[in-house]
Amino acid sequence: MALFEVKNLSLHYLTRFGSKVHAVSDVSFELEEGEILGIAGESGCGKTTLVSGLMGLCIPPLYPSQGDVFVEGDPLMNRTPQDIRENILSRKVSMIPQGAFNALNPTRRIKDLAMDVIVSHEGKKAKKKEMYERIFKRFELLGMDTARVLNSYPVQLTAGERQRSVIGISTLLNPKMVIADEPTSALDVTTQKQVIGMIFDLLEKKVFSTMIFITHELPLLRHVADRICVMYAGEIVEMGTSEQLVFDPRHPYTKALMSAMLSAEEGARGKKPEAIEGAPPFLGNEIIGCRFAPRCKYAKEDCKTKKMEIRIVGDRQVRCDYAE
Amino acid sequence: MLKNYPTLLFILQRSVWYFLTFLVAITINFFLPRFGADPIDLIMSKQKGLNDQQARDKEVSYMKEFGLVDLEKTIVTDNGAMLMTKDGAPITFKQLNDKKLLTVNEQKSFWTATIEITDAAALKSSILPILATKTLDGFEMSDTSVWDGDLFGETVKNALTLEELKSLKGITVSMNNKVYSVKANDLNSAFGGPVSTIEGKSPYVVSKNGDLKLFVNGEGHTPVPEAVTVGSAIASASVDVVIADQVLNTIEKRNDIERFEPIRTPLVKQYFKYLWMVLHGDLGTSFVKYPKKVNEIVAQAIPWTLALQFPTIVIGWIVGNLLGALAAYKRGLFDKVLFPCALLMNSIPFFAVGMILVYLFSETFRFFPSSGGYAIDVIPGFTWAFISSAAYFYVLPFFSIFPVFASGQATGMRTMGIYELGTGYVKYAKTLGIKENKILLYIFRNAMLPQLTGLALMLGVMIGGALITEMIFSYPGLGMALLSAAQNNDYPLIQGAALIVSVTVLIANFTVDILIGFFDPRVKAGRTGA
Repeated sequence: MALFEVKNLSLHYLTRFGSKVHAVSDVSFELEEGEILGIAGESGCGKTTLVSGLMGLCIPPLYPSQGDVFVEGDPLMNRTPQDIRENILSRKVSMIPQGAFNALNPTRRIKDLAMDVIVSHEGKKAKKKEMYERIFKRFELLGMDTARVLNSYPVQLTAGERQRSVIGISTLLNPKMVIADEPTSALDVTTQKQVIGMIFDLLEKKVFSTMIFITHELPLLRHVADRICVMYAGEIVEMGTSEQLVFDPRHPYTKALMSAMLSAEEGARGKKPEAIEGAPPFLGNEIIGCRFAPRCKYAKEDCKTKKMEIRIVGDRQVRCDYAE
Repeated sequence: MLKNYPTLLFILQRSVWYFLTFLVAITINFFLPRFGADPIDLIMSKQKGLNDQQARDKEVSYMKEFGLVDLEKTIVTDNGAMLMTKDGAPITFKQLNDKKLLTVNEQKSFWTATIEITDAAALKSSILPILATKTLDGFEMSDTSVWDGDLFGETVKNALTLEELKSLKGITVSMNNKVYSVKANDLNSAFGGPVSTIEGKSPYVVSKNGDLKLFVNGEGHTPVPEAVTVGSAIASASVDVVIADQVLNTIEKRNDIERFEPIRTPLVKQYFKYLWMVLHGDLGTSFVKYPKKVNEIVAQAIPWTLALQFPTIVIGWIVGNLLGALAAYKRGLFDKVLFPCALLMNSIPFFAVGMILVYLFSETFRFFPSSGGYAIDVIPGFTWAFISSAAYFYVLPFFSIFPVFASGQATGMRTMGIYELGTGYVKYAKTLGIKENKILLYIFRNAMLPQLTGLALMLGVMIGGALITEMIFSYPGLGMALLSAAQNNDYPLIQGAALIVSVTVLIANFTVDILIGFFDPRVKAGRTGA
């Protein structure tokens, strides 16, 4: 049994006037223990919405339309928020948000926030001092001036320290799986490297075992992920191993995405990044054909009218009837 | 040294700024009444049934109270003559007192004192060389003026003009300070008759048609009838002696003859005097309730104002913020009803609510009294009758301010709450599985901070509005005092009440300013530079 399984998950936002915006449509994948899945895609393709769905945290105006998420075989949808809060969040699934500054309560010290997490899940069994020692031990792994950071307010920390603190707090209760939602997008390259190194350090130290790493940078994913899935307009357009997707993309969108990247990879040098013409479709309207068709270089006559389904091409999944 | 205590340093810095603001408030308070119409004129125009002397006395006392003039003690005789030295400087009791000629027993008010003559003979001989003159207050002479008219109650007729005087042989006329001095070198030739003088002092009588006019050497002129006659002119006594006698007689006759002469104080001196007074907690003396001190009037009014405003602000703030937070969190019907109601309520001024309440509950239904702080038949004090009566009268004023203020806070808190609900830290806390009520606490606390600052900003408006509410309900607080002061041109009271209001607002702001640093680490971080 897979640790984490997503079956045909669709999510929509309900607008004020009652219309729906289908932000995530028909997403399915499985994740074995110890695996790292990368999710890539441009802004607005539904990555962050998908994260909410994966955690079972559908806060209005976000609603699930169909499908389900299974954590160790247990379905997430149709459970009460209370149930999800107590049993899933922080314990099994945890998230590292993007923009760590906004994620930290400005009027709470790091240690207080961390203690809130422990108290919320384990009750007030432990004394404050014990809790502090426990938090201290965990934060020691993050390679910071632990005592100072723990006793600081978020404003007093650097961006890197905040990001590390967030990672520390998110993984405090040893979740099975961590969803990292663009954890490094706000950081400079050096700090990025340190933070990613730290995340993998935690992986190695078995703080958590499985991870979904979300980013808009495909080349970064090659170093991080075992498998990559690329999303476009709420759908998975291609999924395969990272080598396959980075060096041999099949779906036109993945190809376009790769050629739009400035890459320092071997063999990719000297290539000029190309922009993808046009803009993603508005998801409030029902789209029948391929969602990428209007921007696709290889689009055929029937692309806009025929419903595209996931196909298995070789050992990867592609949502394009003409990809080989 | 202070660098090690950033909080203390911050409080000190703030205090300095607030003190400067306070000085500005005092300065504005000082200058405002001095820019427009003269407050003394305004208050004097409202005085009725006073004779000239009383009016003048009153005016001088007002000017003194308002700090416009300094009063110099002088000795003034019954008929208004003032003892002066030859240089024209007033002779004061102190001088006489120093010579142990008389003692000032007690100062009854700034106006009069009881004196006692210790050595009449010595006093007499001491005064002898001193010339007494009438003050020439308000009596200016020009070169052409005929010195006819009513001069300090004595009628002068057929006086010589200056030109006529100058044309007399043996007379020299000189002018000093608008006062003419006349010296006669040869009176006999001037008047065609014998004139005698004593000890080189020269009293002269100058007249046409046999009426008396007397000029004293030195400064001024004093008509002293009976003292001399034309032709025989001062045979036996010097006018000095006459006047000295007159002064002594007066002193013996009446004990309270010390007078103060008003001398205009320079503006700068006035300012520093006012500053000194205010910094020592002295707000001056009321014009209308003279001689009641402004401090006293304000001290009577302030408990009422505080009793009305403090609970209103505190309860209104708490209730308003709780309602606003609840509306932000629950949304739905509760919010849909509360929010427009609060918006509507908040846009009505306090006094309008007050008037509506008076109309409904006082005029129409007669549930509550419409004016006053307590029933007429109870005496203020710690009695059950008084407290219950005060509580009964408290209801309408309270409910005219409370809903407006609370709804203002509620709208602010709702907006802030909704904003905080959508922030990243709330979402993150949710993904961490932190308990709902804990997240609510985060939101409430963080949304409260701008509310706290807003409260400080609103306090001035609040207090001003509440003062108007007091006026509507004739509540015996500061607002009422201010109203009656404004109606009666009681400038010292207006100044005092306005200053108290600004000081209250400053203190409240200061408190919030300091408190916010303890509640909000972002502000604290800014302070410590961390």
